[in-house]
Amino acid sequence: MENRTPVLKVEDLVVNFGSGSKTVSAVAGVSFEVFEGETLGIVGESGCGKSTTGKALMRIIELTSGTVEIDGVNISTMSKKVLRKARTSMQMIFQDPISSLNPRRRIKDIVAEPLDCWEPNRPDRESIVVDLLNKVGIDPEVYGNRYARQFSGGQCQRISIARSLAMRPKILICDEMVSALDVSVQAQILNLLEDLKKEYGLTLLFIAHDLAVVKNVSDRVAVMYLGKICEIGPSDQLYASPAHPYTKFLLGAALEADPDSDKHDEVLTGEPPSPMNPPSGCRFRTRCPNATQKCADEVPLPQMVGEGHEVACHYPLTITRK
Amino acid sequence: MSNELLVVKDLHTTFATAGGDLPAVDGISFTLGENETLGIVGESGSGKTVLARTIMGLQAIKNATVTGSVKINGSEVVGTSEADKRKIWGTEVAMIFQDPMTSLNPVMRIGKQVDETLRILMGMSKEDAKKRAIELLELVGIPSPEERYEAFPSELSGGMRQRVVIATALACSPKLVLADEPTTGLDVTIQAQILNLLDELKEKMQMSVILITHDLGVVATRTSRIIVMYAGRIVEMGSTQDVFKDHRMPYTRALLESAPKVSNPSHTRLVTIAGRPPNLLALEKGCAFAPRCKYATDKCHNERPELQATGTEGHMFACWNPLTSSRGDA
Repeated sequence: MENRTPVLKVEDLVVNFGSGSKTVSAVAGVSFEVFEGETLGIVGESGCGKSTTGKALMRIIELTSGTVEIDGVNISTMSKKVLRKARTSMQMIFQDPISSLNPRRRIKDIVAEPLDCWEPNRPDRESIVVDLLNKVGIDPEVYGNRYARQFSGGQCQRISIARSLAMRPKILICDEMVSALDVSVQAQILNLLEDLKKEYGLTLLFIAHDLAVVKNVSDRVAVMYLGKICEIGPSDQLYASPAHPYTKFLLGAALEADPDSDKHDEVLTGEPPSPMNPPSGCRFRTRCPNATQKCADEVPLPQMVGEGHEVACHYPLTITRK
Repeated sequence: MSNELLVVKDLHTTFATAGGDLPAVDGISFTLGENETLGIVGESGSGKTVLARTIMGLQAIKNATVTGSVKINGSEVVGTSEADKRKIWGTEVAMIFQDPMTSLNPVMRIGKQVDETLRILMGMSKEDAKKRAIELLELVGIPSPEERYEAFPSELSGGMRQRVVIATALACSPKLVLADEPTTGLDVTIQAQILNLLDELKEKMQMSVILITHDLGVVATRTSRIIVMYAGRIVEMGSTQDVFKDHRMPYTRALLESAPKVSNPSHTRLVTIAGRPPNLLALEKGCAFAPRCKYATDKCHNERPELQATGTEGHMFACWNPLTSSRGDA
């Protein structure tokens, strides 16, 4: 890799819920870096730990172990008080746009809330709000005084974006931010996100289950399965030649809106095992057609299969193919 | 006429609301043959679910008015009594709902939910029904069906629950199955399993299937015909090939283009449709899509386009300024 410094550096992140025999291992040792101006996509099925990872980075969910560094500052051991201030440089947008806004507040106040909290009595409060609402395509003259409950899902997501930008964050964590929207509205929001990313110089962590959506916005993609990253790499390369069998199945299951596409012959059987009792060794081995005894005995470590492309598999596909 | 399993004629479902009459289904006509799979696509609020529920004859809301005709294998659904509809539910037509958690009774063992219909509609004895229910659970791919017969829905995953819902729907071998967003909310790998299962069962049991979805990927390779809905009306219908490759209605194209594709490189700019789906209480006189359409003219805003044929068999669209055929003017 080039000599770039990561804006966000996550090392061996572990999140467990519960304790004793009922421990759910939601995130089991995840490490990655996100560089300035980059979008890292995290994709995986429900229960793979992608949302928990996002929330643990913000410390909305406390991490069990591991470190999270923003611009070289370790936030994982900060006290709550110091953390609150540090968190203004990292904002999050959630899945359900309607429930993430207070239905009984005016949207201009919702957007101004971060400012009211951290920089009260700013003389340019109004103009910042007007500017933000304009940026996300909501006319502040007409809609600024309306209540959040008067808006549709797509508009609420625009308002959420405006609010998250109020403190000029460096990093934006988007957790399934378009999954509740119709395709035509989804396209508007994704294009808006790309524009704002350029304009505000944002670094994005884009968490979603939809492979096509993740590819569209991401420079690099990490694929998660049962609390671990099984593959990470530049998005075009990862989608073109997946090295992990799970990635290959996941891509094979993604439906292309083309009647001539012909790729539902290889379907992954079974369902993900319980994170309360994950398989030994490689966590995917119970569903993997290539699994051997080695997969049960040894946890596969990440290995390079291409420029910036790492896979945690004993028998990566791209190597065996050549 | 003999091979037409479902005939829908000029169907209207209107809800009386505080804001006025809401035409959720606004004059829909189509037919469906035996062993055919039809896809109905549209965004939320386009009326696809209300259409399915009207075809089933499920009017949950008292203030709904239904006019027109729905004939399933010759029996009329619109205006018939609940008792008469019960005679065709399960045996002629069945429905698979979106949310497998709320369509199953959470405090009833799943086996009982499957054999309930067998006992009531087919008059099977308790033992026979249980035997058949276990066969059905096996058919839909539930591992160790004898044990699972005793399980409660909360003990199963979403994908497994949807398999139980499918087993319940298919228990009395209906000729027509309406699947309303059967895989929405499921993971992609599970979605592929469920869609393959539906395909398989359709062949095995000789049924016709209507697959209702917002996801064009779901219908692309699994249907022979597609209906595109917008604001309660059909805006385009035709063979799956025609709708995907030779669409004439600008909305169909916009819907296809606005979805990101796995095969496109990252950071591909998406084509968007301005605005958002219309308010059905305040529709324009003309085409409902006109306010969002870049080809709209005065005529579009004032006169409502009716469905017209393209020349290709079964391919129809409702538009004053259709896109030119990608296959040349045939």
